[in-house]
Amino acid sequence: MATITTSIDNTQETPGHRAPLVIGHHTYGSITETVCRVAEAPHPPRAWYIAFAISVLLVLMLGGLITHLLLTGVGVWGNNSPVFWGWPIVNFVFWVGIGHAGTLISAILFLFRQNWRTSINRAAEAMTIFAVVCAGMYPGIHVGRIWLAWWLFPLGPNQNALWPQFRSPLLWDVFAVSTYASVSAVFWYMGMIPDLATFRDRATNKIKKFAYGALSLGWTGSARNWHRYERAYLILAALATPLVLSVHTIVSFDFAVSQLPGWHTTIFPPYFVAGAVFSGFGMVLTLMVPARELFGLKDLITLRHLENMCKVIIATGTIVGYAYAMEFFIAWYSGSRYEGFAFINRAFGPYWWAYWTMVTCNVISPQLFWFKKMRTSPWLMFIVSIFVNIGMWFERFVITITSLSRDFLPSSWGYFIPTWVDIAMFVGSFGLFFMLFLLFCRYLPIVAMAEVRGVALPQPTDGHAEHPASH
Amino acid sequence: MSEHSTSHTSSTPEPRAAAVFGASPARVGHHSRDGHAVAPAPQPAAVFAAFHTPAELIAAARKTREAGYANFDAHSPFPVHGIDDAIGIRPTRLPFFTLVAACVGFVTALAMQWWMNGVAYPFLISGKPLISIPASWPVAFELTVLFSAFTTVIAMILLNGLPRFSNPLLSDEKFLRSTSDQFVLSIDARDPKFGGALDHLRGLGTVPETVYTDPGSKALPKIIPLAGLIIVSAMMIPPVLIAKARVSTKSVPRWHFIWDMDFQPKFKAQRENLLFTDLRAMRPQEPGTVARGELEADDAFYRGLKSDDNGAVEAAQVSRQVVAQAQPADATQPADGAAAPADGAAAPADGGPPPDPLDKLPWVTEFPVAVTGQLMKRGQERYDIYCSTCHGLAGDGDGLITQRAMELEQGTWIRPVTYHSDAIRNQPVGRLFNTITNGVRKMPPMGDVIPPEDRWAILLYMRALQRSRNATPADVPTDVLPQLKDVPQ
Ligand code: HEC
Repeated sequence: MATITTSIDNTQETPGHRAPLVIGHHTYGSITETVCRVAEAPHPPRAWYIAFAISVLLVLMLGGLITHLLLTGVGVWGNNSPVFWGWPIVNFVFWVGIGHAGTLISAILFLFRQNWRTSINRAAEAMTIFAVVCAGMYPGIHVGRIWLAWWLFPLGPNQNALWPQFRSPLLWDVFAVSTYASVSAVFWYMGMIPDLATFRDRATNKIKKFAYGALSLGWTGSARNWHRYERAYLILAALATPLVLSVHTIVSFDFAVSQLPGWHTTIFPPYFVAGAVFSGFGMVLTLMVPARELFGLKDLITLRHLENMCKVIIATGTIVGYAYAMEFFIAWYSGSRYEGFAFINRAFGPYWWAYWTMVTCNVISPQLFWFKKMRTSPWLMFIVSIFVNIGMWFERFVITITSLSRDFLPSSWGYFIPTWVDIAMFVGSFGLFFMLFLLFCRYLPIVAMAEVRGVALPQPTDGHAEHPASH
Repeated sequence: MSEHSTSHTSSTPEPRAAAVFGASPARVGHHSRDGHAVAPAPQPAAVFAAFHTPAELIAAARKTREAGYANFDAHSPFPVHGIDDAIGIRPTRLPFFTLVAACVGFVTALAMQWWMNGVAYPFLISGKPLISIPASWPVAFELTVLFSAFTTVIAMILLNGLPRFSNPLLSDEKFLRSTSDQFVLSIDARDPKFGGALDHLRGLGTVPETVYTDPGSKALPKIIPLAGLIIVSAMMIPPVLIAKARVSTKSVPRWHFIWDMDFQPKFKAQRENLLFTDLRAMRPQEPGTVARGELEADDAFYRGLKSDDNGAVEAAQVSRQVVAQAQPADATQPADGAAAPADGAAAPADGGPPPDPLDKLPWVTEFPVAVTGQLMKRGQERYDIYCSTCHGLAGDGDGLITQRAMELEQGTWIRPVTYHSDAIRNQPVGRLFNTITNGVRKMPPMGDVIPPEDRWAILLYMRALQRSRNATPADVPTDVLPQLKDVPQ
């Protein structure tokens, strides 16, 4: 069993020497041990039980609220004239945004050969899928008559002789989000097959042997299989990279293609994508800081990993701040009275508190990461990551609510007030997210062992070792 | 149940492998799923040897290949770089599958959008083109990615020969470490040189192991297919019921799973409401009150009555009831077609009716609105819409409905009177107004349908129709006069 060697500080860059990606003198076997221990321990840590119990209660509440909504109608939400897009869409965009970090880490960082990703990609991908589940819930139930939700898709047999309108960004969104959800899920699953085989081969009871055996499809780690597997992984990464960029681009089209002041801007696609990555990394930090502590993964998810994520957060947070400033500039530069009003109203109108919460959390708080101390103290960055999550929720709130509540016609202006159902459902969606994530931590390989063994560990050197150029 | 303990005959080795080990082929026993058969002798399926580092594995693989083996494989807990060359693995065809799927996805998306929005359900929005490439692009992109990603993963799994749940190698505890920290080289029993495999592996300085096909492969217990069949059939019931409900008709209201908007907590007209003593849900107007905007104080305009008479307003208010009460009495009048059903062409009412209470009311004789050409045009239009169906375009009582009713000869239809009789021509315009508003005898009231302005417009046009039958050339403007034929000079 490896012990944590505190003397290694892999956040320090020494010229001519690569900082190790995992610390603690790990071997192939000890990596297996470390990761499998999480799932094989007879009991998870007490904190897991507490968190799980709370999450399940919240999920039950969410289920009750959804039933209430379906039996009563969407009137239980605060959506009403003039704000017909209330919290449901705010929460939808919030969760979809969070779901961007996983695929970004697993696909884009893979293409850029960022080997440090191997320790965190699995958990980040899982987080992505669970976030997309939470996001997908809202469009599903917002139709009220959920049994008609299939009308969103162009499905036959078509008794109504109607087809969806493909010139609407809302329909593009249906395709983007469902493609993203399903492709992320297969990407995640495919990445897990070798690790599930490890679980299978170590399983001691029949149920686990059967379940992991079925899930790992009979993987034996054959060289021929690895060959195709690696090729498939590369192709998937190449496909998922534009996909992840397209998803929030298309989500931003939901707003940008309409003509409402404050929405109708060309900066939205890149601004949304940067914001999504920002919020996604924020959520990865929120999850990983406690998880590495709880499950003893500090050797694999090292301070260097956390620090790298903090750097991504500064970069994307700064892009988001730039976008906020640019929106104001364009509102003035365009000379459009309505645009101008929309932005002045955002910052100084009735929702000023939301706007300045957003700016504080998204633009100012990540700047703390310029200090190395902040980037290397897990609990400080945990706090900042919470601020990032809050800020990004408020960003979607500000965009959606302020623009709708005061548009062209002053006579129809209003002030949006959420109902208790709005609030409780949002809280419940966190329950769903954490419940799924806790189950994942307990039953699935939380770190991509195969990738860590192959990429992050220094390869053993021996006399007759030959390392031909890899493909 | 462990997935590799239920190994089936699929992994039965070739007989030559068995011959090498001096055992009889005994293939019959292998293929028998009959529990009573004598358990056959286990057949070797493969031999394998474990190594500690990737480099050792690569070296061993190279030597094995050089020794002439073809059916061997390396197993490692992560992809070992350089092993492809050592084993001689050729590049996979996988990318071609992806490429084909990508093209199919792209074309499918474009064709779907073209067909759905351009052909099957064209829907014009702000004059935009029905099919435009920029708007089709996002969905085309998503479907391209969707198709190719799924194809890639499925092709990877299938090309790898997965899922495979009965692999003899997986039954050996020592082999299992190859998914954790060991590197294994296995030689399959199907290799022609399998006989020397053990020695070859020993020559590499390892302690090889042999795995056997599972001789105890039992047939599935009979209960499992039966249970599967029952479950699958049970699962078919709801979709079949739904499908049946969708295509068949019912005489009772459909079953409301969720009440939706069909039943709302509100009172509908003509229904009971226990809150009121008269139990009527639809409330009558409160006596002595006038609803907003319905004062209608101008008697001449709204009722066709002169208002300088003090009793006029009151009289007008009773007039509605008068008309209503007059109906039964009128039924006995000679003008009533019911008296002579066979004689459809009832003549206009002639002498002898009892005095009409409406005769005595102070009707206006002048139009209470400004008479203009525009009003005339409007009147013509409204007349053609509302009156011509019964009265005919020229007011002769020969509208299309009338013609058809007369043809049917059911006797319930009264031919409308002609406008061109003296009786009608001499009626004050206020009284004609009352006729439209409240109806007369068999003619239905139309005041609720036609606003007062339009009623006056219609009357103006009706006056023009009447005058056209009794006009002299002096009534015609001189510039139009030459166009008329048969004008007595
Ligand atoms: C549904 C068919 C129908 C329509 C529509 C209709 N009428 Fe009549 N109208 C009749 C009939 C039938 C009579 C004769 C009633 C009777 O003698 O019992 C009549 C009678 C009349 C009379 C003679 C009343 C009297 O004092 O004898 C006038 C004037 C008249 N209609 C005007 C109109 C005008 C103006 C319109 C259009 C706004 C109109 N009608 C629309 C069926 C119709």
